[in-house]
Amino acid sequence: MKIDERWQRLKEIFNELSDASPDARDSIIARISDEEGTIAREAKAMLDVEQEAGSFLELDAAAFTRSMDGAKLGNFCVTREIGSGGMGSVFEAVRDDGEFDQRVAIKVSNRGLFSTDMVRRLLIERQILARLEHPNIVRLLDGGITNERLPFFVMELVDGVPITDYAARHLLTVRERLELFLQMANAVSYAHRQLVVHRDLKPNNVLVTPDGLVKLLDFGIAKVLDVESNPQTVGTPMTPEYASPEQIRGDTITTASDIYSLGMVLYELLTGQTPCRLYGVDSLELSRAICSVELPRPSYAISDPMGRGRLRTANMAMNDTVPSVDARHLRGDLDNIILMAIRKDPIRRYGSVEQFADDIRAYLDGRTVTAHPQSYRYRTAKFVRRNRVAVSIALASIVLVMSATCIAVYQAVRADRERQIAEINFQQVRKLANIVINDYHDEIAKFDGSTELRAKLVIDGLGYLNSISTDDSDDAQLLKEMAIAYRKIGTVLGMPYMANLGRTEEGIANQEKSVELLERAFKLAPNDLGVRDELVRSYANLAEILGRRNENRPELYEKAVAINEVTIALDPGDIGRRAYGLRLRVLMTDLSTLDDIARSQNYRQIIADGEKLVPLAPRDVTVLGVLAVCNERIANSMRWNGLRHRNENREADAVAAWETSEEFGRRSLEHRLKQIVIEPGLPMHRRNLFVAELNLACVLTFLKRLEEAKSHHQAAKRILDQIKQADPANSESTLDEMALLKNSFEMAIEAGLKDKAFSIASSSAKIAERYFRGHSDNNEALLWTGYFHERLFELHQQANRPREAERLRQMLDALHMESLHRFGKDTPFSGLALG
Amino acid sequence: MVVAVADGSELNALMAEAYAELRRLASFHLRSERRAHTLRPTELVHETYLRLLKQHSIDAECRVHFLSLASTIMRRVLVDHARRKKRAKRGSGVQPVTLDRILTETRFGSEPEIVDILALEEALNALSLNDPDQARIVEMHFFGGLTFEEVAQVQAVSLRTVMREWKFARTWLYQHMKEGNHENR
Repeated sequence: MKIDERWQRLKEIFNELSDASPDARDSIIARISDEEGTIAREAKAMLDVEQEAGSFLELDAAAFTRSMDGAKLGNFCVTREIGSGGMGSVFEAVRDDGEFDQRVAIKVSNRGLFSTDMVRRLLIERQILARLEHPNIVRLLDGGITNERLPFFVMELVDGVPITDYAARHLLTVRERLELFLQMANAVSYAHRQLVVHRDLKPNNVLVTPDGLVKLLDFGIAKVLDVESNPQTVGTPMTPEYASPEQIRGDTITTASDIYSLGMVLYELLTGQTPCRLYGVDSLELSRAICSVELPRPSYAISDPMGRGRLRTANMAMNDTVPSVDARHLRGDLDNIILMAIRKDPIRRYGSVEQFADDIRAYLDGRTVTAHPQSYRYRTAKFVRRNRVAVSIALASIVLVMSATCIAVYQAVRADRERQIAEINFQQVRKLANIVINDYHDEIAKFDGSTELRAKLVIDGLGYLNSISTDDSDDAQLLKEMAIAYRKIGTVLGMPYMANLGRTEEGIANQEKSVELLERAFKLAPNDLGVRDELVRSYANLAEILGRRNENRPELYEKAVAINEVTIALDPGDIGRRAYGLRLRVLMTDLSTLDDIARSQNYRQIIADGEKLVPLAPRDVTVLGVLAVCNERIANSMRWNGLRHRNENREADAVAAWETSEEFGRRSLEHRLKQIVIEPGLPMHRRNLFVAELNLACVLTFLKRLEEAKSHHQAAKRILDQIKQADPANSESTLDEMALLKNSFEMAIEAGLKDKAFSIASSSAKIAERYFRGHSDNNEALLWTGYFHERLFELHQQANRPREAERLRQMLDALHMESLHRFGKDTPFSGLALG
Repeated sequence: MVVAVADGSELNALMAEAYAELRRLASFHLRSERRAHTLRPTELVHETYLRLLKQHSIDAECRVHFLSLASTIMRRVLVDHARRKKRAKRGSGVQPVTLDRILTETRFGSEPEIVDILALEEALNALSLNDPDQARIVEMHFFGGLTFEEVAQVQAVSLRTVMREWKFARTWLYQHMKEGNHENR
């Protein structure tokens, strides 16, 4: 007999014996032929062992379900299992005392109560919970302990789905989602008034019935079961997703913890993003993330414009898009409301669920919400945001009103009549002008494509200030205000590396004017912190814009740093100023005549100092910016070192330098990503992110890791496209385009694609030249034009096309002459200064 | 019976992730001696499933398929661990905690039972030479925590058949392991 057949027979006989009663077994064996005798004996031996094997390899899961079926708990009889999770199982049951036909849900925990103390506490809590009577809270009907010492809770049976599923399924609008949420908030608020904290609010505990009624489950049960005591334990089935930082740390749990969880549920309800997804970590790292990482604004999380999704590609398959909610709806009030509810520090959240709910109602009614800390600026922002077109029209009318008033004031002052009225009007104009120059301008600057409107705003604003004052005023505050206006004009006209109109010379004149006025204000009020801060800023801006004209004036930064250090000593508590001080040190180092090594040493020192500030101000974008910049500077320096090594045929040194560059570049990118998460709307951050991605692409190209290079290159390209699309008037993006093309060119060269490289160089040379003609005072434009023409020249030479090469040589000679004239020395176009 | 298993590559990617997750969870539990006595492999499998469920849209019908695949992984993870432990034991001469014996609570509230993972592995391998289907059933139930109804669904056979096969398989394994023990002594 074959093995297969023998096995088959063994199974058959075993089954037959197993089905038969013990008495009948012997006769069955007797019937089996001699030929199969050994098999029969084997089957019999197995059957004997079967009893002994007991529950060998059999698991509790199955046993548990069986044991509960039809089981009696209190006055209820279990009819079926509804579901089970890490904490236990839920069963449907009916009342079996014949009184009336009531269907209920029974939740049985899988955590045993093994001390009388725990049992006593359970009973006390049960009484408290049973008192909660609210239409949106699932009634607790009974509770007790099973024979296995497992606590169970008998609750009203609800036919519903989790709130987030309900909203997604019915494609609810933002308003409808908020109304659902208010039902939930009302229930929690009611419970808080009864001194019951929920402790485990999450979408799965908030069900919505088919007719849209919200029902909260498991009120206070978390406390009874003490599940929050150790959520950090790995392997604990309860995930801390919606738990507040203080819950995770094991601190005292208060109503503020529920406010936090409500905020997180609202966050998910409006954005469709689960906490794990938001933090971009898995559940094992989640506890740490909840305590230390600030979440982005919901409007940012929902639009997920770039990056975050890319970082966690594993999550891309999720079907959690929220088609009926648009980021626009969340921007502003709802962002503020949610972020206020989920602040890490419980004291800084809403004082009560009621306040939280009031803000939502205010939002729904179109009233002002309380969630914004700076209410004055906020109202301005609210006005500006409502509609950009409307804003420019509104501004035009403000401007008209102001000019009329100005004329009146000016005449009044000159005539020296009705001084009092004049003074009042004077203050009004001043206030209006400052609103325009500061609040409106700053809000509008956050929009892409706003460059021209900004220029008009500050120039007009300054006009009004000028009309009520003169440059030789002896009012330090007024001088300061005018100086700020001049500085902003200077910035919008031609500040390097920010969206500007490319008018460098006018920009410089305005920055100089700003410094001049502030120096006078400084003499009048040397201890005025505001004047000192503005003076520092204006010095820094002047130095920066002069750099655009290749005029390096490190002494301006030294002056700024010196004044700032004293201001810090006068008022050491201001973290913002200290952060800005770091930034100035970066700029000072940038311009210093130190050698490469000493310079890198400085940057490393600034990084070290900056990292000390991070715990004090984790969301301070200036500190993050400084860290990003210093890492970027070191990365750049190492990248250039690598190029020098390569040019001198020291391949190994080059690779080592580039690898260091990569390391710092990645750190820089990381900080840039954090910045953009904190302030997603700011065009500057986007531009910085572009630079970080491109630098990384560049060094990876040099390292011949072309696949990685390509992915960062494409990221950079995507960002640049967004920048260009958002703000076509911004001339800076053409220069960025050049840098991107340079990298494309280098990638083509590394990949050995000569033809492609040639076509890139040739089209780039044209773009650069055209730009240079339009912006002849821009040094970078000159360098780019030279760079691409030189590459083209080299390629012609290599391809043995002497005529084309000669034509380009003439062009290059002219460019070199120009660079000699501008920089006082001939700057090579080799890309060292650019790449 | 129709079971919609998403597209194959998707499931593969999912399994790769499941494997990493399981290994991580298991090694955590196995490393911590204090916890060793409460390790329940099937809990790990289910927990892994729940974790992945949160991150992916897994079709509810895929669940049993997922669990059945995860049970294979769980088996491998535990066996690997037991082997490493055994090698370490040989090397150091120190009396180790019996981590190579996985404790399973077989019935609710009753006395737990200790299963020697390496012995079970050997027996299971022997069983699958004779009857791969039976070995799979054991694997799915014991390592993956699938109920017999779920096993029947995966195997596309009746519950009665699964119960018959199970009874035979587990008796055979028990006998085989018992005999193995005698041989060792």
